Amino acid sequence: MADACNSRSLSWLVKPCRPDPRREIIAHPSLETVHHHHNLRPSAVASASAAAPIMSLPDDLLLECLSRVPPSSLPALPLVCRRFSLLLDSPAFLRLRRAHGRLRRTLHALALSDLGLLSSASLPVDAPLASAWAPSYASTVLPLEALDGSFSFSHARVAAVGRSIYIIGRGATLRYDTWTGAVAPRAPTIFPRKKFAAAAIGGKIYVAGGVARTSAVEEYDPTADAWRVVAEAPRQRYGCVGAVAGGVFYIAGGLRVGGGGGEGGRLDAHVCAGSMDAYNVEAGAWVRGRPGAGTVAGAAAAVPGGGCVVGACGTGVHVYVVASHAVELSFWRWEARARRSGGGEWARLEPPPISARAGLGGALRFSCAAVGEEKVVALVHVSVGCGGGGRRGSDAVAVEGAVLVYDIKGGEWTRGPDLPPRLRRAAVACVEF
Amino acid sequence: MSTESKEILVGESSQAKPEKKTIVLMASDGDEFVVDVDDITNQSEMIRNLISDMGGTDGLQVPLLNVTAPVLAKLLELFNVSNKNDDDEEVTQKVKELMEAELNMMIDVLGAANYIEATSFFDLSCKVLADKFKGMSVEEVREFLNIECDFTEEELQQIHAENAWAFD
Repeated sequence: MADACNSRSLSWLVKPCRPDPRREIIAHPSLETVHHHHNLRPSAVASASAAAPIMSLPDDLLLECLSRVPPSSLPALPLVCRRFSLLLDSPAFLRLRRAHGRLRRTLHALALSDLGLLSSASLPVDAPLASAWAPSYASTVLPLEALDGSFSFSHARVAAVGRSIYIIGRGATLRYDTWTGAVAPRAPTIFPRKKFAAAAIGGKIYVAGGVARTSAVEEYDPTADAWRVVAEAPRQRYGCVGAVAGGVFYIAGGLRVGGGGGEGGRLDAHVCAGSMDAYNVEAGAWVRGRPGAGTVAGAAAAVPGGGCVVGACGTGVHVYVVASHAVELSFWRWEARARRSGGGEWARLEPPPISARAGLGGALRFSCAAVGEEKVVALVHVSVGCGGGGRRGSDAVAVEGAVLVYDIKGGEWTRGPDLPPRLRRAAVACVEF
Repeated sequence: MSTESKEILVGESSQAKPEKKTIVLMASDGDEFVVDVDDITNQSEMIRNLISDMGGTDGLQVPLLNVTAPVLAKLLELFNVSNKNDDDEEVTQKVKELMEAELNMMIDVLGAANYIEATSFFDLSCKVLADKFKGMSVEEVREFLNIECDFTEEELQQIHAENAWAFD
């Protein structure tokens, strides 16, 4: 009897070590990753300031406290000490905040001129949608001498990792901290790119296309501030867009450049326009479509109806694609089949309330961002000098700086507040915290 | 085991009514605390599960390896406040007072609450601590928590440069 008792007591003593489902959310891999990269074990940090009782708390408990901090108090916290900074940067922080229902989503629009003037504005996008964009911070002039060599931020791409938005230009990268407004130069892509595809998956950024002399796909590790080539794309695209869904990096649309042998540099507008290449990041492999499914051999999929992809973003397992046809726009949802063999389904959705004619003679430009799994936001621009003229009034929506919001569940577009005029040619990204 | 045990009055008149079931919690230093079963299972998920796993409360002694007697006493005192009140106002106030008076104790209590899976009390305590940061500057947070700034001189310069640049 005593034995039985003891053994039962013992089984309970290990009980606290048994993962509690709620705690498991902040599972160790992510924290270990954080500490691994910085070679900073929590214990090592704790001993540095042993006097502070809060430092005796293990990571998960400290995060439980930090994740409950009101949004207005967050910006100061990463500057308190190294451990706070690491914890607040960890994916576990966001997961916990989501678990506590404290996650707030904010859309950020960023425009960066080649003269180094950064303008930004933010829009809270949790329902109900705010009525106007708020200037995040005063326009800031970047010290261009901090960036080496030649660079350009026209057609820069943005990607959000945690609270930071990376602005990736040709030959230069900047990190914008949405909490503090701090801007810092970061490593440029290995190959200078313009009009390329970019998207963030699992805390890393992937870019492809936008360069004639290579088909390399690059991966950026924000912790190490370093790019590396992870794959060679099946074709070289220029003017493509990137999206992420279900752990797959999609490279959609654009023109085919270079490669192909003999005809280097020749542009053929119809080759890639509606097709998507899909790179499974974890598997390190390209996903191939069913033969005949796409217009391009080996592509994962192609938008039905022969449209050109002009905007895309992903959320959950879905990619949302805006395609441009001769006189209209279409809007699609792609869901890849779970099986490895590739293939998937397109669903035609309500098109954005803008006529492609608005951009006739010029080009409509889109910057798309998903807001959680609930909304898709499309920011629409018309290239300067086009779209105005005699057609005024023919379209319901004037397009420069128009913000269109698609409600995924309701299947409807609504018009959000226009971007402030000083944010010409901005790109949008959604940040959660 | 130890012959003497402290009677902690958890809930109302726990010793007067013989039908009230009790169990013994043992702090890491061996001190024993007799607690009302309903009152403790109302707070601690772990003890609730334990009792159902053990198939009853008879003679149950629960050793809490990580919790010292003063911390356990404080935790039970706060549980008591929580059990007596329907809303969290009173206990929130008590946790706040504890945080202002003895931050170390408050943090130990928070750790202990997590250890015995007193989920809602733990939530509440975390929130009290998190709310304390409201309106505090970096320097004030450090001072309040007694944290040393462990950034290198270079990192500090960089932080200042990046922020000055943005706010300029």
